[in-house]
Amino acid sequence: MMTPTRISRTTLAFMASASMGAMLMSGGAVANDDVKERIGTHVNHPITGGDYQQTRYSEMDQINRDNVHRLVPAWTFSTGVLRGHEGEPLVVDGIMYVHTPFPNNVYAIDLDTREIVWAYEPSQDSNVIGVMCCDTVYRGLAYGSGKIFLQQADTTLVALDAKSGEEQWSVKNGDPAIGETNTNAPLVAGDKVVTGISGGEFGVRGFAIAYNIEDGSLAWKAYSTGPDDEMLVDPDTTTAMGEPIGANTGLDSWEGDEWTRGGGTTWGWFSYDPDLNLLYYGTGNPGTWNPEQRPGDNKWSMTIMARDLDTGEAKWFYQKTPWDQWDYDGVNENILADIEIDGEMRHVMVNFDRNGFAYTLDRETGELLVAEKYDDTVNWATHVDMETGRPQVVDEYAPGVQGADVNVQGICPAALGYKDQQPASFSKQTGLFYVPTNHICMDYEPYEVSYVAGQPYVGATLSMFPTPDSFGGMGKFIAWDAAKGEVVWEQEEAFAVWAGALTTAGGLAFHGTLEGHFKARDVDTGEELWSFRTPSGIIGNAFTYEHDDKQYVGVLSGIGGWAGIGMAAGLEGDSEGLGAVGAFRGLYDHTRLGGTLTVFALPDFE
Amino acid sequence: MKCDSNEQRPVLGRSTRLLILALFAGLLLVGCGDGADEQVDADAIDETEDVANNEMEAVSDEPEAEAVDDDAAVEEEANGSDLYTVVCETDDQGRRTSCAVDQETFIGWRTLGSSCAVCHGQEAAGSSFAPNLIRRVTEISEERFYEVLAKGIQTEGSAMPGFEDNPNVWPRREGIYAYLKARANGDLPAGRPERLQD
Ligand code: HEC
Repeated sequence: MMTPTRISRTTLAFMASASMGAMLMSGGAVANDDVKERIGTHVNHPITGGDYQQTRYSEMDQINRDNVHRLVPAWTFSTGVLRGHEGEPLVVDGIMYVHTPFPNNVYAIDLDTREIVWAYEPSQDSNVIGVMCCDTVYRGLAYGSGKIFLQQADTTLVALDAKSGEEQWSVKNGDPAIGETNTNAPLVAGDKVVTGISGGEFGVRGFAIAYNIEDGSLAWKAYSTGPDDEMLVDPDTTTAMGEPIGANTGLDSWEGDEWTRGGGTTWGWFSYDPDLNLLYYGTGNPGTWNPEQRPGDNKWSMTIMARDLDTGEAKWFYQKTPWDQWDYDGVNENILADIEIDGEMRHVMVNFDRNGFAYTLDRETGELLVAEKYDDTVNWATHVDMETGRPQVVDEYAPGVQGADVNVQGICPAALGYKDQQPASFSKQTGLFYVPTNHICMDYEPYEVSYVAGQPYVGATLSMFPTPDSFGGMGKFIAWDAAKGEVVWEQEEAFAVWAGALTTAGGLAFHGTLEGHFKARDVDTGEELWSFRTPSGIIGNAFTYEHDDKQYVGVLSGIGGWAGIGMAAGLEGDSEGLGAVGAFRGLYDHTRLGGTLTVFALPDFE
Repeated sequence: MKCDSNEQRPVLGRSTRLLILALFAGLLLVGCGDGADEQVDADAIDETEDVANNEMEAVSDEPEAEAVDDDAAVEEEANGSDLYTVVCETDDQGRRTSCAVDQETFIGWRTLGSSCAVCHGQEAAGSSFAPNLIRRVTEISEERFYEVLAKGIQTEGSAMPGFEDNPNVWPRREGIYAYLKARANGDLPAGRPERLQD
């Protein structure tokens, strides 16, 4: 099928700054200007995260600290799907594109009439659900070159005409029969659409993959583990901690062929620096949760990767958690920001890892600038050695050190991490990061497990509970100074804050809660200025757009995801329970399943 | 442990023996399963079995238990239709503070944690995605349980995978069932049980 007009084919000038690898594409990089020109406009929200840098910040200030108490729902939309609703819709040229969890429907809604312009409801083999860890979530769509890109759970990537919903092309980037699925939002940058793969609990070998947006042809595929050529690594020029990484580190840091089922899946968020032409993302846990079965650093699982957008070649890596023993998947978003550190303006990326450390790195070189705990109850490591970049592990809380069949108790954070997929926001107004966090610890007992293709490859049993000797809640919303590595303020929440943040020039930080409250806070103090009870628990991300000169803020509600599984359990007999389980509180007192989009605005009357 | 009969076992009709035993608190198992603790477990069991021969039917008769030894912790043993063995220590309020189960039931608990909890929630207590299995085993037959576990169920928007080809689950199915029944019958509280030495 041919694509209709709207294809912008301007060649970009940023080619020069991409030092890695020559442009392999014939005709050079063809930029997709129509995303670029819409980013930063108030009327559009053309990319998950709001911009390539994934700041989730908007210059809009119609809704601000002085009037936010008057915010009311303007319109709502039921998605018709019960499962956990992560991510946020896109807004492009007066149309909102709403995605749903499996079966991954897409609804295009006209913002004038609020009617459905087109709907795309794919039929997928329901067998795929059985190989999706932790609910059938889906984190969002991508837009570019007049197309909407849908990454289905069954690993099909579909390009739909943004105006008509007609299918333009589709490709498959994985095989659910071996546990490969997708939950991530793809990213459109330049003339590429980049996507990842899920299945870290199924022994999948992770990779990032880029297709040409015009026809879906493969541009490059880069594995997270294995031989250099399959990882698109150059042992002499790809660096880690400023040094060339050397040959075949993705093989030699594993025992035997464990790297072939070595995880490093890529189900998180992608960000992109147009000046450096670098793509950033993180890789997940190294296969089985029993560390004894995979001695070594398990490179390059748990790693922040910087790759050339056009060739996929790796510029630098930083491994946050070598030899993972806790399931601290390293896939959380990398937010690109320019901040002053020691009096100097630095081009950095900031990552709030599952492992409880927040990292500030130079995004061009991968130099580690700051690595500090964003919750001081982190106990599995004392600190990160700034020379080697390695966390200093505390043996008492290291299941791999204690060995299989030992129940290691009181590890903080839990496998869910002190932050999971819920993305943070960088306010250009305050220069601070606003982070939705978890406050949950665990007992962890690894044991021997056999690999069977398409079956869970876990090999550990976990109990999770609110962080002991703390305030009793399971989440916080915090403001973070990434230059100093310090918490500026924090607000306590009863449940994990599993919902993505939005900050605005109106001095506001928005986020949802698992109980279903959508909140606006003052960016300076964290004080709650407004809240609204949505129909279900919120694990979706706040977003904003303007229509007919009016600012709107919206969010998807719909409890589920790992949060819904990890914490929804309403254990009976709370007073009785062996160990920490008794401390758990059910979410069922607060909320039920069901996906709804709620969009808020200031009322027209005074 | 035997699960060879496929007969349905209604909750109320179960032939569970509950015994109150007196043991020194110091002997009781609270450790993390290292060698020393397991030795203690074994000692505790020997003593349990000795007393079990007396067939004391004293389910919640604490005064009688205390009569045995004032300083003693109270221990209960539950033996659900030969599916499982549970030995619990209780505090002075009668609440169970520590329980040990037979090896197969322990492995069942552990397998639930790694193979089922991603959907059925911690301790299989139910999640936003899949049902509470502790409740479910009282509602479905043992036959149905193994059938579902083998073949799975496909429904719109959610699915239960089949596990008959899974070497991490299928050989341990009887322990999974035993653990769920022990919980359903109220013989075992939520949380991590300790291991009895068989
Ligand atoms: C991928 C998610 C998933 C995993 C993993 C999973 N289940 Fe399920 N299970 C489900 C869902 C969803 C249902 C509800 C199916 C329905 O009734 O439509 C279910 C239902 C069941 C039922 C009830 C069947 C009935 O007739 O009501 C049993 C028993 C069960 N599961 C046992 C297990 C056991 C034991 C394990 C681990 C070995 C397990 N499940 C692992 C998703 C899962």
